[in-house]
Amino acid sequence: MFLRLRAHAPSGSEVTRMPTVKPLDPALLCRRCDPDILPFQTTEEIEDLDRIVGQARAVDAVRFGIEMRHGGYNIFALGHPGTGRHALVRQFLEEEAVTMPPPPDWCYVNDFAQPHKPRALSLLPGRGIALRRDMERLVEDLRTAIPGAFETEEYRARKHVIEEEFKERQEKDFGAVEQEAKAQGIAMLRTPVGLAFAPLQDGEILPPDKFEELPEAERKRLEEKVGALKERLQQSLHQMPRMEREAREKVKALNREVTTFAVGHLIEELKRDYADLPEVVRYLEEVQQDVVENSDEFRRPEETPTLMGIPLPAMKPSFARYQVNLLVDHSASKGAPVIDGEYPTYQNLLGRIEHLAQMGALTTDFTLIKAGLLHRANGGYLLLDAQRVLSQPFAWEGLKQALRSGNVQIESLAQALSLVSTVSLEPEPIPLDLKVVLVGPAWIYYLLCQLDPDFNELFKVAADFDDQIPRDGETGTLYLRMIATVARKEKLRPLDRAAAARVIERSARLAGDGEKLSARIQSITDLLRETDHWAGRAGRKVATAEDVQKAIDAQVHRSDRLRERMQEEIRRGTILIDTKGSKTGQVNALSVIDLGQFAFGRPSRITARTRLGTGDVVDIEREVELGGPIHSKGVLILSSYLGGRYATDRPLSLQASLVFEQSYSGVEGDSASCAELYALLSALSETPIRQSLAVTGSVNQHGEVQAIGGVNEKIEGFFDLCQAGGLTGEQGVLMPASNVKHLMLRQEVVDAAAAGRFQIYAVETIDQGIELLTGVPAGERDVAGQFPEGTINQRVEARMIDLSEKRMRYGGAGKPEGEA
Amino acid sequence: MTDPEGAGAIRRILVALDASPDSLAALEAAAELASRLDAELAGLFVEDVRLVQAAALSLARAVNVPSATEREFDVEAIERELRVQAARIRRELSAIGERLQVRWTLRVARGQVAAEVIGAARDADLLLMGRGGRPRVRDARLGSVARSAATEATAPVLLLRAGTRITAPVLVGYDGSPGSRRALVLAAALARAESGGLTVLVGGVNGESARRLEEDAVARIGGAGVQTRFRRVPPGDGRLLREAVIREGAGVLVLGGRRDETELQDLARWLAELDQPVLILGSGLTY
Repeated sequence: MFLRLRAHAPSGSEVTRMPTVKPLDPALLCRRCDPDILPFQTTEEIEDLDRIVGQARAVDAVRFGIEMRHGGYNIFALGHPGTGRHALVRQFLEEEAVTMPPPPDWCYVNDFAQPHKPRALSLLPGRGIALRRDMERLVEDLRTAIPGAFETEEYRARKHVIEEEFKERQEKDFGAVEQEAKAQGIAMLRTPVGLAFAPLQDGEILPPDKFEELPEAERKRLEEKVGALKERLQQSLHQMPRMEREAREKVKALNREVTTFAVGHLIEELKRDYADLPEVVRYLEEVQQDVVENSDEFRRPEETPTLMGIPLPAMKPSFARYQVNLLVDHSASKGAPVIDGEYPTYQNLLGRIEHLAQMGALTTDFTLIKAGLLHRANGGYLLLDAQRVLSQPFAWEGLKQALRSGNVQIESLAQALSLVSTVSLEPEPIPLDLKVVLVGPAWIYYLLCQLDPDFNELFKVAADFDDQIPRDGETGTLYLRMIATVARKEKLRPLDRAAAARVIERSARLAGDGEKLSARIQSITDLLRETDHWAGRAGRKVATAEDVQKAIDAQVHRSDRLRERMQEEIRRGTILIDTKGSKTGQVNALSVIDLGQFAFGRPSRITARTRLGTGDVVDIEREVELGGPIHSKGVLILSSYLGGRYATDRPLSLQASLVFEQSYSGVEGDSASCAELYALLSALSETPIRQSLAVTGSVNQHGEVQAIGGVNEKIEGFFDLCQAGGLTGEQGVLMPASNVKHLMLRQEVVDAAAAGRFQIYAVETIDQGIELLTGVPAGERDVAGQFPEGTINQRVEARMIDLSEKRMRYGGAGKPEGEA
Repeated sequence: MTDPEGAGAIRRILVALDASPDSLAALEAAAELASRLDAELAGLFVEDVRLVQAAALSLARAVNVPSATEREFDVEAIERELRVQAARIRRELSAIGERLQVRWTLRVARGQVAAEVIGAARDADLLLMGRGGRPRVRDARLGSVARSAATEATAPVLLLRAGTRITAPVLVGYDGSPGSRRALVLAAALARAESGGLTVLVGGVNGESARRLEEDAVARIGGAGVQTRFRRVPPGDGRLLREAVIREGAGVLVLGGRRDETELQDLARWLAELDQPVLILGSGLTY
């Protein structure tokens, strides 16, 4: 736990001396909202609010961002969560979107020349779905038309002619060789793997001995004849593949002709329908060509092939390549899309390509391309949560890349990083025309501005949402309307006047400022829901101030375990805090512990001790690194104040040490610097301080008390402690006067103050404070420059002089000039 | 077998084998038939003696088909090839015999192929063989061995082309001649074996004679329990015959009557366009 002592900037007001400071008027302790001036009985009577309260700057920025149609004018809505950023932006976008025409449909179709690069087609809204249906119907039609065309008698007859022609040519070729052999008395024999030639004699193969008997010339003549026949046969065999190929080509040409006839009129019809879209016409022409080239697939019977009895998937002809992958369909859209990117991963943003496992391998095609948020929002608006985008790997880079290039290119992450080598696609990029609205906290905005050079180029419009809005008449009325609207929208019971007033007061308290209201609508909505719950428990039809109070108390009770524990330990004396009596060099300071949803004040004891030294004020917290830099700064200001106020013509010759007693987890902030100074002054003047008072406030070098944060929690923290031990009427808190406007104290505290049992003092200077704490006048220098005898300041100065003289006596290095 | 009345009885089926796709189709069909009729399957492989003789001649030349490369051609090489072929045939026969549970034998003979086949057919009730033709060349004509066997064999010859088998219905031409009577009985036996129908093409010269032929045919088939249909087709016209086969969706065509070489050749041209097996009762048969 880190105690944070919140500080505000110095007020800069002039120091005005008041002899004594009176307790604050109880009316100033909490700026009430008077139910009686509210112009309604219950919130049911108030009309709905159709816009957000306050936030004029953010509203203007969003409107401007929407109107700027140039690239780079994307919007970053920054502010605290719960301030209605998302709702406001969404409302504006939706209002704008309905006035815009729906953007075109986008389809991916096969590129028959390059199947790995699917082509993107843009069509008027509604025509995408029509094209998809038309292509489905075309394939259906082709599957009957093409086999039909091949079953005609004409086709069969023409094919037969081609085959016969081939056979005849073959026959003629072979027949000629055989005839020739026969004529020359040579036998053509079939061997197991081919043909052989041997001379005949009387119808029998010439026996070898008879052959040997032949004269040399005759033998040679026979050999030549056989050789020549063999060559003829070889030649004729060489012709065979060519002839076969020719026949095949002829059949193919015939098939093409028949298919073209069957397909032509079907595709012509489609081309007429899409004549106004040259891209689609070109695609249809390619489809026609592909169908003609692959007419066999339409004729093949559909049977599932098997491998050892196991059916093999998808080996049958697939007509998927004629499908239309309708990526974005605006057939039912009324205006431009407004898409809420709930889960902006890289793939969800930019789209993805899915794969199918086939026989252990991953395959894909253009039908497996899925649209991303950018596709769906194209032509309109995309709302994204900045934190989510940034926490998804590569999502931010992908988004920027798309916005910078003005295109969205679908590419899997693994592909982009070359991690896998599955079959993949490079779909044609789709041009982007959309506005992206990022919603996020301010720190992300500032970090991106600082660290990402692309960010300022791409998100030129910052819509800065405030977490407070002024609490004046106009916004007050709007705020009430907002409360009424929320109650109605959430189907909650209406609130009566007093309840609405309590909600307003609570809102001011949440803002930590009596003159402001909280813009964290989420917190108010929660309060209203909880109020409704308690009103329901009490069986009321209309929620009352009591229900609101019950909701607030329950909220506090749910989260104040730690506070109660702390208070208990103080009461039991484990943590030493006095609320009565007087002590020298010891003061009660107040710190705030912020648990996020809940903050509370915690009293701490600060002690100071002084002795002869060389002018150091030792901050023990800092020595052990439990104190933050702001705290250290406050302590250094103290020594400067001491040196500048007292015994200015002598070297500062004291050593003082300051400590936050029983603090084990670090101290930051300078809101305790007043208290530390009081402890020091008490120690130096040896004047006891009233322990029934607690102090908050920071101090500057001139002794002016400056504003701090969390004033309400701090005061209530000390009040609770005192109340637990019984209020004595002596007890109270010293707070900076510049914090009075922030007071929104609990009713209990206000009541105690009104009854004079608890005092709250608004202090402007250290002198005022020390007088209250010690009951001894602070004292002002007279004409001779001396403080009146017996005053605090006089005692302090006397002590300082004493210390410096002692120091001179010891002969330290710090002798005053002129006495050396 | 010269018993016209018992012509339907088929106890021994001869199949001429040369390891060509056509002859393997014949083997398959023969084995199925043998299995159905509980007949004996006799395989015959004839090594062409002329090949061995030619290989002995130093000037003889041989060419591989269809690669058209010239190859070694001597006695040793051709003997080896024939051995390989015989071994393959035995393997096929053994496998099919095992599969269909058929008694089978294989004889390897050496001599003139046609003569050996015709000779072996004397002991058989039915001869099955491939339609033949030149190796790996799509040949419309019948091979020379098939031609000789169809005209000269003393047993009916069933010619098959690769990729076909015997199925019902059986189509048979009937003109009352002794040959066609035998064909009718054989066709009825086949139809019964295939448990299918029989279609009889009646070739009468007029309506009256056709009706007589039909009555005659019914009497001959008798109560064989075969579903019979009659169709009238003028005799001796190959083209009309082919059309009838296609129209009737015939699984096998049975042709009776004495047929000589030229008549057969003429018929073969028409039949070449048919893939269906054709059962021919040639002039070698005696009635």
